[in-house]
This record gives sequence, structure tokens and C-alpha cells, in this order.
Amino acid sequence: MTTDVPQLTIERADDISALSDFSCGLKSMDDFIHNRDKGLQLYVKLGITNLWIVKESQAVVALFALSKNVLRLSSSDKSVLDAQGVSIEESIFESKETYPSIEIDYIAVSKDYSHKKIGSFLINAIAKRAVEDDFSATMFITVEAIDTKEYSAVPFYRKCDFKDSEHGLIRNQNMQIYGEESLTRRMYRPIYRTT
Amino acid sequence: MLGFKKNTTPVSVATSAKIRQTAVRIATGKLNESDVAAIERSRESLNRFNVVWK
Repeated sequence: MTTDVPQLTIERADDISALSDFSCGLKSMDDFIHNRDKGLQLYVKLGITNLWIVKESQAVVALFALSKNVLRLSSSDKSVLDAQGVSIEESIFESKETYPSIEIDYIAVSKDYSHKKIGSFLINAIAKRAVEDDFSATMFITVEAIDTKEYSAVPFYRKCDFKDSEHGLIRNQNMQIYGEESLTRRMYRPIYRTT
Repeated sequence: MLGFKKNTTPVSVATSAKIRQTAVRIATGKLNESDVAAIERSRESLNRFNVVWK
């Protein structure tokens, strides 16, 4: 640990009380964070997600919420690996259709701390923690990135080395089928063991 | 993302293949240039702050 860089404390929270003055600057997200009845507090209370609050000294810098998830893959791509002459490792992954992941349910940085690359730091800190946690294996980080006319988090996640997990053509087909605009975009990022 | 309407589609065939290949590279340690660059970016990012998990 070096001492010449700022220190952040990341602490589990069961309640949003510490977030009363928090604002990320995006109204829809702030409303969700502060709504005790239908917002973030409800999801924490129901055990759907675990809330973590990030502080520098006593100031709330950011928050994020995590849960376990899985990348469930199509099994129709097996010819791709077959064509390469499979090794034992490849044959294992060829038959594996689910890959364990940590889902970023929510992440927001205080508008007072924007442009300090805290968001990308937190993504990498989550990945590092996942590597160090030997309770269960985790291979990917996944997220439903907000992708609306008002705001899109997709560029941020791409900078953090996330990839789109849906092919554009298929997404467009589904949008035609369901007749509605997508508000989130599914993305994934591998967790490197050397992180 | 909690609180937002999701329109999740299944992982496509093309993306599934990429994900499997990524998993193989990481499992075998045979990382490509993109993987190595991502790891380096991650290390640089992690040097910006000290973190204490509680």
C-alpha cells in the first residue's frame, strides 16, 4: 500500500441513510437512490443486492450494489471451437453454457467527485476483490448499462473494457418484435486472475 | 441496472464464441495483446487510490 495517493473506504451498508446528501447529478438515478419505498433501499432490504458505500474521509464519494449472476451462452457456436482442434481446456469450455459473474446492479459517483476516474477505479477494485475472494469462482463482471436518450453509461463501460454481450442485429430484431426501445445494454468484462 | 426497464436479449452466437474464447485464454494463460493491455489499464487505475474494504 502506498501512502501518497488518496485513500477510499468501501463499506457494506444495509441502509441508505448515509446517502441523504448524495447526488450523482442525474435526476432519475438520484430519485431511485433516495426513494426508500420503491428505490434502492427496497432492493437492499429484499436481499436482491448488496450495497457498498465509498467514502473519502467522511465524505460519500460513490456507491455501488452487487449481486451474483451468470453469463448464459448460446450453445450454437460450438463449431467455432471445434474448427480449431480443441484442447482439453477448450473442450471443457465448449460444453460449458454458464459462466459465473458478479453483476453490477448499481454504481454512481458523486457529482462532487466526477472526472477523477473513481468509477473506473471501482470497477477494477471490484474485479480485484473478486479474484481475491476464494468463496466461489467468478469469471466475469456483468452489467445492464443505462442506455437512454437522457444518458448512456455504455461509453464509460467500454472505457472500462466491457464488451457488448448482445449482437447489434439480434438486439434490433428483438426491439422490432417487442416494439419498444431498449433502455439498458447488457455488457460483460472478463476478470483476469492477474488483476 | 436497478430501477431501469430492461430489454435483455439472449447472448448471441457470435458473442458466445468470443466469451468462450476469452475464458479459454484466461484459463490457459495464453493472453492476447488486448488482454495484456486491459490488465495494464487495470493496474494503472488501481494505483490512483488506496482502498480499505470494511
